[in-house]
Amino acid sequence: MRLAFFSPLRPVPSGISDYSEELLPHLAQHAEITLFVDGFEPASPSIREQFHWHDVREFDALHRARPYDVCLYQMGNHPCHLGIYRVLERYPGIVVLHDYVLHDFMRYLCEVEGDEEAYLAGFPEGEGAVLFRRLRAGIWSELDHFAHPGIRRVVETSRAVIVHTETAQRQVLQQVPGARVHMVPMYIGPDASPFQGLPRAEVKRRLGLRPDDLVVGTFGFVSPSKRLHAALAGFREFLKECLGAHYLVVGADNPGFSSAQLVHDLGLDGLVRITGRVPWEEFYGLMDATDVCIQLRYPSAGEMSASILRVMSKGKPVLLTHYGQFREFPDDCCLKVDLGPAEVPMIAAYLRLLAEDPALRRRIGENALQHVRVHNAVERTIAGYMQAIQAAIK
Amino acid sequence: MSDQPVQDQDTADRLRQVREAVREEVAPSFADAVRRQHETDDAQLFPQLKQHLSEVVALHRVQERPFRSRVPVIGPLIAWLRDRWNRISTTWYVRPILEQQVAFNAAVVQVLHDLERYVQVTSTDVVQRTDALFRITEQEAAVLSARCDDLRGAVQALEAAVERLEAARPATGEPAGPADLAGLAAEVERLSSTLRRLAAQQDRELQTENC
Repeated sequence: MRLAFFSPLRPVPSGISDYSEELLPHLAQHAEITLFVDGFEPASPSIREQFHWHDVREFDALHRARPYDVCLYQMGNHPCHLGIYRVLERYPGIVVLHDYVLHDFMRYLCEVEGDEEAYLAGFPEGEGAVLFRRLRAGIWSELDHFAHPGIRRVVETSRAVIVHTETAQRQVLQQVPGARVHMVPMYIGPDASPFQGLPRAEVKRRLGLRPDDLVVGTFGFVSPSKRLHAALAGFREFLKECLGAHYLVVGADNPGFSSAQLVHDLGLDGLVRITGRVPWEEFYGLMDATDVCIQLRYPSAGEMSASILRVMSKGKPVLLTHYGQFREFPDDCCLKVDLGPAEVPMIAAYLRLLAEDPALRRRIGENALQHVRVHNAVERTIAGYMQAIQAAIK
Repeated sequence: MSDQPVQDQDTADRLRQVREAVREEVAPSFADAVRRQHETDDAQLFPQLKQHLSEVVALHRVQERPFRSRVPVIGPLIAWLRDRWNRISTTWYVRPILEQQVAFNAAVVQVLHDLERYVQVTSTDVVQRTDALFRITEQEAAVLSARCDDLRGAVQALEAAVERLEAARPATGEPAGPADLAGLAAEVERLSSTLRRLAAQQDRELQTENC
């Protein structure tokens, strides 16, 4: 089977780039894959060596010369998917919808690309015109953004859609009833830490942290929806009773957001280390130093968080938001945090509990690891992909 | 509720108890919490608009300026000569009127700017408040769902306890040991039923909330 695979790849700074690079070697065992990228050269030597790759603009000619059996589009809510979108409009294939909400992308199409027709087509009849009027008036509404996901054209023009959570599956079907939507668990790649096998205390020592401190970490891109403000406020509450603790914020700030300013405003200077974006090995290595992770998210575009799966795969107890797709995690392998007024005190209460009970930390971490091993096994992901592909090309 | 089964019931129970304890401590005043985040800074806009509007009202009438002279005796003559001269050079006469007109226009433009800004800010404010209301509702719904999940978890834990107790009962049906296990099982069943009812009630509340 000849498969045209459209995706951002490294160096494009997107979680979908990482996702695709981790998935491709496994998918390649079942199909002859050609990669299509939008205006960049893949940075990873292994990807360049293992796969033929072309710019998306070459697809028409290549497909005419020798048609591909199926097109697989990795689609997300970011302008870096523009070239992919332009092809999927014309060549229906299988869309992996990483974000259930594409409203940001639709706005980009309209405001930057001037493609009003595409914007209107993203929404059900009647809705698009109202949203367009507000957009033209310069009124941005969070409600508009999340309540109107703008996925209509992408889903309707696709032969099948793959999502990574049952919540997203339900939401897509609510928007486009009758769509063929497959829930395929997300696969995450292997541990890349240079500290594998080392005791945690030793890792902490090597990273300049006190071995006896409770190290709390948050991993991945930092934006207001990651609720670092709540996580740090909970940490500050916790510090009133426990002085031996340190917080790591590992990941790049999104434009317009400053982790450092937030830390300063909360009076936590010196107690929080902000690393910014770090190489992959360091990203995993810093996880080895943490005792507890906090990976909150709200509001959310229905996406599964690879960062949550990564910290769970490292056997870390993780606090996550008790909301949407994250409710799908079993109650014994993570610590679910309410939204609203209970959020900060609940974070503090969990941190106290975990600080006092290392055995519980270990147990939740083991449950988390077991869950990811079973639920997010690469075999399940590949089987899900192949099932969706076979059903679509029949 | 989690789509994946819980394997480690003890851990799940313990974490649920932490959540319940926190919820009992925290009064769920969502509206206050969210309202504080959405204060707008347009308080000065409307008074400013009113002030500019009053300027427009004061300036709107364009008045002619009749020629006058304070010089005694020949003053009227001078005024007459000026009037004559005006026929030659109308600009001396018209310019002050134009200046008044320009001042008025400027004031009108300012008011229109103010109005545009006021409408923009008010619209944005309305949208923000609607969004805030949406967020309150959504977060409350999420918390209700979380509580439903926990109640279902408690029901499952109790059901598991009942099963264990029933399994521990001797085949003869006689109570095992000093405690009346059958009675205990019935009690647990009763509690389980109560919790199930509470969970159903929460579900109904949630549905009403969503509607």
